[in-house]
Formats: sequence, structure tokens, C-alpha cells
Amino acid sequence: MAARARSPDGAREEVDDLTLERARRGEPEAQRALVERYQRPVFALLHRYRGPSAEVEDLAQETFLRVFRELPSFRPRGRARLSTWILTIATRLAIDAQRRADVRSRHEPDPPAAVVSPERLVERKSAAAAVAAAVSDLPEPFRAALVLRVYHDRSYREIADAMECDVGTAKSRVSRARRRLREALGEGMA
Amino acid sequence: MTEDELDQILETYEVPEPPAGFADRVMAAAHPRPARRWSATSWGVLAAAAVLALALALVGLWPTRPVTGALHARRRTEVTLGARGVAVAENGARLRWTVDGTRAEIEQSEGDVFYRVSPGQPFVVRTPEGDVRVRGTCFRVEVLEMNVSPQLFAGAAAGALVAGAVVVSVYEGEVAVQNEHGEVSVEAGERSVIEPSRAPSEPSDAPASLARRPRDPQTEAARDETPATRGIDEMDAPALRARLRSVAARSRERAHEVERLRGLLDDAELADPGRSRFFPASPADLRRWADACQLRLDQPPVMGIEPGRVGEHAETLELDPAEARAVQDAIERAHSSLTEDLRALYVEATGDVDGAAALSPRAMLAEIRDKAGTAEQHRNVMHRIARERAGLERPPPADAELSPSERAVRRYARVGDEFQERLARALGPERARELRARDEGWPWARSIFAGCDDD
Repeated sequence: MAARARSPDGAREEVDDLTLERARRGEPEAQRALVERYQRPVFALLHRYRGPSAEVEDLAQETFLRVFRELPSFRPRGRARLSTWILTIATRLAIDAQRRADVRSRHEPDPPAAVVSPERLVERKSAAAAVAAAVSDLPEPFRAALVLRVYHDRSYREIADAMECDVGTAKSRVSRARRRLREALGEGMA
Repeated sequence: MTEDELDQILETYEVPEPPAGFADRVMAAAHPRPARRWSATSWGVLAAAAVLALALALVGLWPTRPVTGALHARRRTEVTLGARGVAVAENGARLRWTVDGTRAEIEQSEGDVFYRVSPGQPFVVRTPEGDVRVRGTCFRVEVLEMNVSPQLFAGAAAGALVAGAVVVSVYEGEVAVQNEHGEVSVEAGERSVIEPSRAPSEPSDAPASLARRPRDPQTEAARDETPATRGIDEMDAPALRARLRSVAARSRERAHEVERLRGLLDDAELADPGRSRFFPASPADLRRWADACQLRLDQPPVMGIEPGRVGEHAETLELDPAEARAVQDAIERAHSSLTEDLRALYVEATGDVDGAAALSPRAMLAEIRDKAGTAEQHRNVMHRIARERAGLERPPPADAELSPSERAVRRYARVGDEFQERLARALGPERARELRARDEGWPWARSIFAGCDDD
């Protein structure tokens, strides 16, 4: 079974305070509960950011290991929800991984950017495949901003915090990502 | 494509569930099982093994792992090559090395490098034109200007470069210079030139300043000379000929490379819609798009059953309330006009009057295309329109007998310009143009129709 876009993850309740406190103290059962609660949105974010790749699971694991390490510094009454805080860690790890990949491949010819004509859209097996390709073709930082906004219902303030930019920049990135997607996906004449 | 339509399409992007057992793996990584406690006996065995390893290492028998490295020197840089060698790489030199115990293999693909090597096992410097083998000496290897193949220029390994010529100067001891065409022995105070597809030249006396052995690499590194000025001034005829040939060849390669990069830049700009404008389009833009079989359309939200709303783009376009009303009115009029025209064409193409009354402009356009033409014809029409816009082809005369499909596509392609004309009547031509240009095209819907018949 697949997770739908605009999944209710963002709207679901966070883990209860007691579980969070036990996880902060390093209790394995509480940590496991935290992984089981948040693994779905973390995988969804990483999958949409990095595309289908064996690296997604590695990044997801690294996300939770980092969550465990840094949980004592998380402020439950602070500005960020726990889910947003975890997604922020996942986003930054994904961006770092992308930058490392870019460095590795910077001498390789860039693949042509996607321009999806209506005819080519029709040739694709499904709109989902076209969307996946178009999203993966979005350059950073537009991709991360779009994924957080569209698929995880994060506010612009939360996106700005995750991407370490101001709110205006977050808005601009989402807007430009959407514009690029409209261009890439075309008018939909087919 | 409206914002809502985009959201609907984005919702189709589903992702897999996390793999089963993922939480178990995370927990295993977070809480690894404690390591086995070492007993006194274990520590004794470990200590004995360490002593043995140290002894073997001292006599050179312990199998050490190869050490590799690479350097593209941006300034004069000293590199230690294992226990036996030191290299001083001048600005621009490229090196890769593998040191395995006391054996060392260096790949010098570019630039000027001075080496000091202590006696021992084989120490080889591989250059694009031949190898330099030494047992203990001081020498310099200069790989002169190179020709770089276009593919490699974009980023292949440095070792794959094609060399112009290599000059080996020996300060002390003796080296063997060899390639597939021959081998010479070069002694202190001599040098040999390796040119492409030739055997290394017979050793000749090196100019005195070149043959002078630096006291050590640090001293060498402190010299305020550059290889280029020092080399050219004191090169003999064969070396100068080699450098001249390589520089001339490099110039030709660079000229080709410039042309290639210009082409790639054009392709990149065309392939990246975010970087390109929809409006205003310069004549050069229109020509490039036409050459790439691209037709770019920016339009108001008029393809649905109902006209779209100005929506959030009132903010994007910074419209005051009166302007927002004018823009909304223009959208509704454009929608009405387009719907009416496409209905007539739809009935002409399909005979389906009822369908014409029920379908959206988008649906009618798709059906007209499907029933009254082929995808290839449709693509050809798009390409012709792109060429007409670029002035590369004359538009068809007003009385031309065009197919319903072509007329529908042409009608659709005019929507953006007609919308600007409608707004010009309401707000003035300058304001209409300014609004369209604010976001480099109408913000509601943008399309790029790409592809030639031979794609």
C-alpha cells in the first residue's frame, strides 16, 4: 500500500508527552515508538526529495539516530512541533546528501532537464510518473521547499526554519517550484 | 494549468511505505550489543600480535594497504609520497599516486613537478607520453601544454588527458625514461624529451640552471620562478618545437571547446524552462525556441468549464482592487470567446452538438485534435507557429483552408496575446504589457510544447 500525497501525517497527533520524555531519556521502547510514529513521513519526504534509491533507507536511519542524539535539545513547548523538527533533520540530511552527490558528479555531463510535452506526457504510464520526474528535476532548494509545503503541509515559517532562510524566501521557493512544475507538466492538453 | 489542477496532479505522486523491520534496524544501530569483554589471555594474544606486526612492518614484510592520493596544485605544493619520496608540484600540476609499502606509482598528467626519491624499491612516474623509473635520485618531470579532448574537458579523470610533450630533467642519480617506442637512460645534468608517438629523445645536456640540483624540495619550493618563464627562456630547439606544437593544438581545441560550450549553453537554457522567459521574448529567443521546436505559451485560466479566478495572482501582479476586477473581467471574456470558437470547431470536426455544449475548452481541444488530426500533425502545427513567431515562416493567409484541428490549435495559441489586448483596452497597453512581463509571462498557465519529428 502506498502513502498518498497530502497524507494526513502532518495533521496527525504528535507522540504523547510521556513517550517523548522517555525517548529523551534514551529509553529504547519510547524511541521505537517514536520511529514507528514518524517513519512514514520521514520516508515519504526522503523518497520525494531523493527519488527511489537505496540511500533513502540509510538517510532515514541516520535521521532517527540523529533525532535520538539531539532529542535532549528539543523543546516540546518551543516553536517547532516534534514532527516538524524531525522532518527538518531529514531535510538537512537529504540536502547534504544531494550536495555530496553533486560534488561527485559535477564533472559529469548534466542530464537534460525535463521538458514534458503533452505528447510525452501521454506516453508516460501515469501522471504520477510524470509528477515524480518533474519533482525530482526541480533543483535544490525548490524541491525541498515544495515537498515540505505540498506533501507535509508545513507552514512557510516551518519551511523557513527547516531550510534556514527567511519566510519570504521560503514562500518564493515554493512559488517558483510550483511554477516550474506547471511549466514542466504543461497545460495538460492531452 | 490552474493552482487547483496542479495540486490535483501533485496528489497522484505516491511513495512506498517504509520497509518492514525498519524500526528494528534503527534500534539495532542505536543500541549496538556490547562488545565481548576481553580476558587477560585475550589481551596477551593481542599484545603478541601487535609486537609481531610491528616487527614485520620494520622489516617491510607486513602487508600494508596501499595509500592513494591526488592533487591538482593551485600553488606550489609539497607532497609526501610514502616514506621514500617527496614531490614539489608547481601551480597547475596534476598528480595521482599509489604508495604500497615502499613501492610508489605516480601518475603525472599535467604540469611541472620536482621529485626527490630515496633509494629503494621501484618508484615510477607515469606521464601521458611515457614512464620515468627511478631508484634514488632528484629529477623534474614537466608535462607541457596539452590537448584536451572535448569530452574529457567536461570532467574526466586527469590521467586520461592527451599530452603534448614531457621533459625529464635529472639533477642527481639516474632515471630510465621509457615508452612503447623506446627507452633511454638519463643521468644527472641531462634531460630527455618525450614527444607524442616518438621514443624518448637521446639525453642532452640540460641548461646549467635546470641541471642545478636544489638542496632540497623546501629550497626548491622557495625559488621564485615559474616553470613557464624559466622553461621557455632556456629550452632548446626540440623542446621549443614540442611546446609550440602543443600550444597551437591546444588553441584549436579550445576554439572547438568554446563552440561546444556555446551550444550546450543554448541547449541548457532551452531545456530549463525556469531560466527562460515566456514574455517578453526577444527575436533571438523566438529563433532559438523555433530551432529547438519549442512553442511557449503563457495564458490566463480559460481552459476549464468555468473561467478561472485572478486568485493569488492578484498579489503576484500587485493589482489594486479596480485592476483585479478588470483582469477578472478580461479572463471571463477570454474564456467566453475561446469557448465559443472552439465549440464551432468542435461541431465542425465531430458533428457532436450536445458535446460542444457540455465540454470544457480543454476537453474540446483534445478531442478535436484526436478526431480531426494526428499527434504528428498537431506537433507540426505547433512547430510552424513557433517558426512563424520567429519570422522564419510566413503565417497562412487569412483565406487558407486549414483543418479544424489546426484552426483550433492556432486559436488556442493566440489566447495569451488576445488576453493582453483585452487588458490593454481596459488598463492601457503599457500597463497590460507590464503586468504580463512582471512574472515573465501570464502567471496562471504556462506550457512548453517541445519536440521535432526527428526527436
